[in-house]
Amino acid sequence: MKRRDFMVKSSLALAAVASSELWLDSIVRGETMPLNLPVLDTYFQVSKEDMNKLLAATLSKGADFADLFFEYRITSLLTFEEDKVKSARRGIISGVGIRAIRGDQVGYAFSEDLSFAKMMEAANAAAAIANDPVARQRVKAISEIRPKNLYPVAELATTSDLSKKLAFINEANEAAKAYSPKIVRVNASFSDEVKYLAYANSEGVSWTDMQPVFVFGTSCIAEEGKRRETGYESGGGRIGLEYFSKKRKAADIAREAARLAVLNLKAEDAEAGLQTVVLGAGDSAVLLHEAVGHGLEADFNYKKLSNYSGRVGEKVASEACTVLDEGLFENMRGTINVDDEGNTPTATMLIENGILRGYMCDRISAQQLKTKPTGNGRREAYNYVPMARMTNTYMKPGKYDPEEIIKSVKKGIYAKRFTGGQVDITKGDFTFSVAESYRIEDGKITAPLKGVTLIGNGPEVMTKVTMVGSDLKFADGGWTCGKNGQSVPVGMGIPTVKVSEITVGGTKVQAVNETGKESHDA
Amino acid sequence: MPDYKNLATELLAAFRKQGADAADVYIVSSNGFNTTVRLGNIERLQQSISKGLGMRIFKNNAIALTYTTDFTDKSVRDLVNQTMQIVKVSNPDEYNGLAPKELLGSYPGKLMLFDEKLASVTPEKKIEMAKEAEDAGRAFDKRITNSQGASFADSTSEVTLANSDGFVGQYRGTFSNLSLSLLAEENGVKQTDFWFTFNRFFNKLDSPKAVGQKAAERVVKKLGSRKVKSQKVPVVIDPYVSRLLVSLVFGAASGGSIYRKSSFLIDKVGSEIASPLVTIVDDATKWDGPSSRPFDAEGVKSSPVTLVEKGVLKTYVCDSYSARRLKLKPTGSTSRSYQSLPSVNSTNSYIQAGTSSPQEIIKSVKDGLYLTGLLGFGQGNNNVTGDFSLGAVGFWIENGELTYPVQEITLAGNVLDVLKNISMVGNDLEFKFGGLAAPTLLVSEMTIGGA
Repeated sequence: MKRRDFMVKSSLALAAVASSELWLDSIVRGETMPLNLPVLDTYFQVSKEDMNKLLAATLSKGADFADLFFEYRITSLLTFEEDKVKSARRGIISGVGIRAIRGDQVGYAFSEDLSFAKMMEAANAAAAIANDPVARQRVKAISEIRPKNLYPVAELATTSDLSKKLAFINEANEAAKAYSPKIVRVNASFSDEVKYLAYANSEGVSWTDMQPVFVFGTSCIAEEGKRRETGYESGGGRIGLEYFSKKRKAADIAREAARLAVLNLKAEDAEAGLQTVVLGAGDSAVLLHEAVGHGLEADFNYKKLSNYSGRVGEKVASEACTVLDEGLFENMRGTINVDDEGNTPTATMLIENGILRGYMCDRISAQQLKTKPTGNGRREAYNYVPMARMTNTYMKPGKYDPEEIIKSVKKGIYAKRFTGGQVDITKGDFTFSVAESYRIEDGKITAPLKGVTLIGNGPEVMTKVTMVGSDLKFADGGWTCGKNGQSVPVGMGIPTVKVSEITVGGTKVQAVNETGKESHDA
Repeated sequence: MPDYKNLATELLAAFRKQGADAADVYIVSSNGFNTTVRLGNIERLQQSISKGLGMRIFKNNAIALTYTTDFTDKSVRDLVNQTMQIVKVSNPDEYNGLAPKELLGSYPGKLMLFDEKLASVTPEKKIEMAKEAEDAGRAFDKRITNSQGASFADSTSEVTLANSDGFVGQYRGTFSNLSLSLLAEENGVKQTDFWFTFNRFFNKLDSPKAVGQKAAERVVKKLGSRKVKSQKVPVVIDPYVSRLLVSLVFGAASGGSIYRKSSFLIDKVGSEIASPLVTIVDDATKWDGPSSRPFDAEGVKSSPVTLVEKGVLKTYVCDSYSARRLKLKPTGSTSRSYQSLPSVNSTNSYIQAGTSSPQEIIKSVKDGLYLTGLLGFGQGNNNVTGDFSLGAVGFWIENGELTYPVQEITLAGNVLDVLKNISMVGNDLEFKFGGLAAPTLLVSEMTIGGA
């Protein structure tokens, strides 16, 4: 299949609804327990002895390494339209994924049936990637690692009282409607999940984790005359309902969606072609995610598939650029206490003052590149193999005042909000889709522009980052990254940044190339 | 596989006992195989057995959905109770409900969905096919320097749906898929491209050699790509991309988009939305269609729907909710997973073949773009207004001939303008990429953003 590595700001992450008063005891009991809860006994009823037997079976045909990944996921979704709760949903998904590794070869099998016999079948299926008559490795004694909890939660969304979630939805609905008489429709959704995970591998590492995450989203339709436009905004993270009192009010999220819809009613057609673009702080980090992030995932690099392969130590961006991936920010959407193969996340320096410093590694790619795993081995769920993935990717702030950056542009575009992006990691060409942008004329922000796509080549665009602002901001909302058919939640951040030129996908053809920087041959 | 019809009907009885007004139970079970071979070695071997169950209930016109992968008696019974609880938080809506009884049923004609022979194909054979495809691709041209791997994947699945109005339906389907992605390099620039073959029947797959060579040919052709100037030109759309136009029209014509005012086709039934050369049909009863099925996710019997006839929008496509709201009939167009509610989706949806050969279409263009791929599809298109701005790749057409490859450009416009500006329709309609299909199209003018 064609490689489609992309990111979207989802209007609805999957899932359904909960209310503690409603849950039957059998299920509530586990959900409300703190992080040190006995995950293995509560959700999987698997003994350490059984895990040892499963790991031994997975190694039995000569694999170097085996691991077991148990998942019990409760999902919840509340959808709201036309002043009504349109549907309430809740689901429970559970299973185990069993992996055997030999060199860079992987055998994988999963089962939703957690009976010992069915898990043994899966272990034997995974083992078959190797075909020696006897095992070459033995299972080491299992000892549990206890990583620091980076997602403390005061009130877990998935088990909280439903009336509380409804109150936030109502608040958003009212705020959006009150924003402008032009708002003719408001949709809202509260999507949350909690994953209880238990893991063990043949090297003796085991851990358990509870990963909460929620997305609260509002979308609005604005109407004026015959014109109809839409706006969307979301917020959330690996945090509980305290988000709405500590970080951002539901009404503010809704007003932002309404603002975008109303603004778009006045948006003008953008001009097509090369232009100077100022990227606003926050959302514009899609640029990092697509232009450098995917290309620096180590699996693409040990296989020499990425345009960044073998280039550590080389200059791959302007000196103004320092980019890291760091899964350690408290309560952030891309944060993980431990990655899905038992490695703890790190602050991974990707690009330092324009120089490529390293890649984001999962276990296999670290081994192939003879380096250490960076805690970037992630998977969507038990039914997927882990891969090298981003966590929270961001650019360090620079020295410029954001106002100064805009003032420096005679003619160009100020792109502020984005819906997503996509990249071809081999050639490095990427797109990102703008939801809010304006013309810059003589250093001033003027007319709003219709949604446009920006297209560029990752390494090329990164050398054209000429100014970096002092205003690093992390994007809020349900950013979800897709790679090889697996979706994982990610975080990202960037300060205001000036790119001297990038191709803008407008509908109007410019008479002359007005960036005036250099001439381009077709 | 166990017989899930019994489980479904037992659950419906349990819901009736607990006081639900109506309910349906959707169960999907599948098993699959998936292997990737890279540079001649097996990189991954995966086997899966999977299942899930979704229960949708109606109580006082409100909806709740619960789902689980755990089919043990206790777990499922618990979930029935929970479903009855969470429906209390959902608000009533007079348009909610099951599909009208008289539309329920299974399409009685023959549908080619299940390959009995797939089960007897050994893993060794599948691995061998992936190897063969990769070998053929790598041997094609010396500029091919690397591979992202060749994959063989197949699945066998069974869908069971039962509702409290007495509908019980079940069907099984298979898929086989062989794909390959290669890298080529010239003058320090790397390119990647892929090809695949996909069919419900193992024996109908293209040969591994053909897949390998096609992937190789595609990637080598991309070498030496250039950017072009921003301009307005005619665009010939390759079938791999033209089928996406069908999905945009289908999405905008869905009842949900209409009542939500989130569509560029509001109030357009009966009016001309496309060139008279354009007819768009969705047909879940196409006998060998990749997305055929006897009934939809609400149990509505499958039948063909003509969305656009000679440029005129004929109907919206509806689930039972939007049909009741819009005073239309459900069109049997819903699909779902066990984790979701039924929603309108295309099955075998296509633009009818025209009379021009693809060669004639290309020949008719003096200076223009032959479009083979889009970047950012789904993000750079606005379904409310029909406006789009997307990354594009293809080849430049000069005096009716394909010349150099083109990359790092954008295409922008409005879907309705594109539909109206279709001036030639190819005779090359094939269902090679799944249910969505369209022939080669010529659009008289689109805006390119480039250098």
